[in-house]
Amino acid sequence: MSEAPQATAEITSPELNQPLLEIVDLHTYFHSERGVARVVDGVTFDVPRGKTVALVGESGCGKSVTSLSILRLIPSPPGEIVSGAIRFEGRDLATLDAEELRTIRGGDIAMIFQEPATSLNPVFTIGDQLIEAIRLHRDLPLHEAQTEVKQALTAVSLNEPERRMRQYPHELSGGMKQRVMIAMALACRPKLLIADEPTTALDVTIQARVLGLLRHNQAELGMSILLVTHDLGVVAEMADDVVVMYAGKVVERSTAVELFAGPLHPYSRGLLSSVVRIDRPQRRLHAIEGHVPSPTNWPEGCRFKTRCPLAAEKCNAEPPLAEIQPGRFSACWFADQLVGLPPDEELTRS
Amino acid sequence: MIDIADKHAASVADDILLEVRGLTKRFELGREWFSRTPRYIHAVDDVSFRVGRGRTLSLVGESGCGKTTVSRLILRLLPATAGEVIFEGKPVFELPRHELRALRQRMQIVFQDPYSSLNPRMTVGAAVAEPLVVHRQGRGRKLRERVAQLFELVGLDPDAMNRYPHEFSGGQRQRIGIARALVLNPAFIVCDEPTSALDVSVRAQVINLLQDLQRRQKITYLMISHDLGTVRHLSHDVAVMYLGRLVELAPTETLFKRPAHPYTQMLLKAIPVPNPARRHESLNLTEDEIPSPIQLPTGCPFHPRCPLYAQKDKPAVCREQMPALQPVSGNAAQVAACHFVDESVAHFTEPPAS
Ligand SMILES: Nc1ncnc2c1ncn2[C@@H]1O[C@H](COP(=O)(O)OP(=O)(O)OP(=O)(O)O)[C@@H](O)[C@H]1O
Ligand SMILES: Nc1ncnc2c1ncn2[C@@H]1O[C@H](COP(=O)(O)OP(=O)(O)OP(=O)(O)O)[C@@H](O)[C@H]1O
Ligand code: SF4
Ligand SMILES: [Mg+2]
Ligand SMILES: [Mg+2]
Repeated sequence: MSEAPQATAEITSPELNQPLLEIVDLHTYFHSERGVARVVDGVTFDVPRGKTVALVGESGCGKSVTSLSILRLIPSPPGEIVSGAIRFEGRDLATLDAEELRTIRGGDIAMIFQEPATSLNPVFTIGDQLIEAIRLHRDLPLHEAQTEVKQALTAVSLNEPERRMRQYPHELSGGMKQRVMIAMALACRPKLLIADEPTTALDVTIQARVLGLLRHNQAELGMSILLVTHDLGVVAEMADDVVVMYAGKVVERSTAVELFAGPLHPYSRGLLSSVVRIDRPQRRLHAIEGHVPSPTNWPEGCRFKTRCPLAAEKCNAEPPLAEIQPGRFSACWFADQLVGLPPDEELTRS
Repeated sequence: MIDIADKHAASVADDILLEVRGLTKRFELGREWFSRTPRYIHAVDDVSFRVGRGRTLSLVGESGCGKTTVSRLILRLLPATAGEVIFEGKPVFELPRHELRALRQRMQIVFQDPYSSLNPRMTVGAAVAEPLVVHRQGRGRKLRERVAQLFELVGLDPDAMNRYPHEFSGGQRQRIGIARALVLNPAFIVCDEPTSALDVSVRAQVINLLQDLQRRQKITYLMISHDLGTVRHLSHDVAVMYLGRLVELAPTETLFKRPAHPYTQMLLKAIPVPNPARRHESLNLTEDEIPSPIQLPTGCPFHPRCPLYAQKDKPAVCREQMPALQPVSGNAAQVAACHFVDESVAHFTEPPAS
């Protein structure tokens, strides 16, 4: 996870100690007549083997574009991966040819898309789509694939899987479609699962079962998970590490336990204190003041400065993502002052 | 900023804006080749409730229990199998076309899936303006101004009006759906998972907005949400559904402090807490198959999963008789459909604060 060059470490550490996925200084831009939208603008983080990394941040900050970039699923034009490396088991996905990439998609790396409606085909039954997905990557006779699909649907708590297989996407509820997507992704036993908001349409009891299933697959098959989610309860439940993004950049990186104990970036602190606490009713909800600036027109220096309670002169220069404590990175000039501060303590400039 | 479009609304006895009576929906499934009788999905079964003007009722329950179907029935986007819906004193299912059209201005919906509810070939500005155009309520510059105002209200840059839905993030599209539902100043809005794609801070902004509008314009909401924190914060009353039926209905604080139905209790216990030190060690994996709305369990639909049923050595009454909604400990404001409701409510202990 270190920012320092890793050239020497690579020789000494055995392959298994290497992260499964390394994203290094990724830049993904969208071009239009309005200008260049620098939507993902220098993102670096690792997903270690068998671990879960949560990617969190404000709506529109570039989480989905980051996850889509990993599999090169950015529509191009107008999108473009401008620079950066995406190393999966040592291979750079950013430079693979189309054929190699196809075998990895849905095979070694599976993706659950944020909106299930966009990835299920309305004219085929659920069963047909799942069977095809399985047989694309695994050489199975039809009846075995059928059995696997049935098991996969049962595993995501879908009732009457055989009948559900004969239904079309529009005949399923929002949460059922989402579970079909999860079943499809897991059926190919990926090494890396990229899950973009996988449980937003699930109630908490089914969600608990689905998260349990993910943990189970992780323990049994050593699967790694990149989990994009707004639900900080789910982050706390699942994540080993957390990457916090704001306006196209990583602003904080930390273990989940340390992050929840006291974030080291003012944006992360604002995020944590905006959680609607079920155990502490409030009259009016806390929200971070103001709105995110536009990606065609980021402010100079720290991109959070327009909304930050600590903003000062210094923030007109861009703060680097620096290691503040061992394994804890923050891109804030004042991160040192935040060490040891409990998460709900309000920030003021001293 | 938004003026009150409410002035000529019919005043209804007790100021009940919406009443739903015995609402039922079955979807026919294809016949099996060996069978003459068609099979059905019992998506919604005999659901009744009322919502007062300016209040919020939340509908919660397991994925697939029929919440979205209830909302589509209320708006007549789907024909009901049985039951009726009374809105501002009028029977919605019997209204002739022209009256339905007028009604549609007063009832709006934020769809659960923002992507499929937006036309991919229409700019988002045009999508938000569409209801105004359809109902001939604005043109030209005024129209643009109104749409720009709504963009700002939901926290989107008005400059983004000329872009297409696919150019937005999930949460941005969700807010476009909310803007579209607000544009006609409706009296009633169904919000089907309106904030599921929003980060907690933007979510707080949207919830504050919905509450401000309610205070100012007496808007009535039917909220459908899996986010129980939001439900507790936003609603006056909560209705809990299980396999198409209402199993509990209560004022919000009562429901969260003293849930009566064993299913409601199960739901509240499963809420994840934003604290990694309080992780659920083994997430619930062992439960067997979830019962289905195609082959409904006999008696109480919850009995195959009910902890109280198991604990009481499987009383026959739970397998044989469908429990009706009944007052909890003699309090008519809280009703639950369980044969042993008083025992059940006494069992519950609130989880400790984190
Ligand atoms: N095809 C596209 N063309 C132009 N801009 C795009 C496109 N796709 C995404 N964007 C822009 O990129 C930014 C980041 O989008 P992204 O979908 O990654 O956000 P996100 O962090 O996943 O947000 P959310 O939590 O709301 O899903 C947004 O401002 C969005 O408008
Ligand atoms: N058009 C349809 N044809 C057939 N069955 C349908 C149709 N629409 C819904 N159903 C079925 O009705 C039941 C209830 O679905 P509904 O969408 O109302 O659930 P929900 O409570 O909104 O769930 P979620 O929380 O997952 O969105 C499900 O079993 C679903 O498969
Ligand atoms: S009626 Fe019986 S099975 Fe149903 S909820 Fe009550 S105790 Fe459980
Ligand atoms: Mg997204
Ligand atoms: Mg639904």
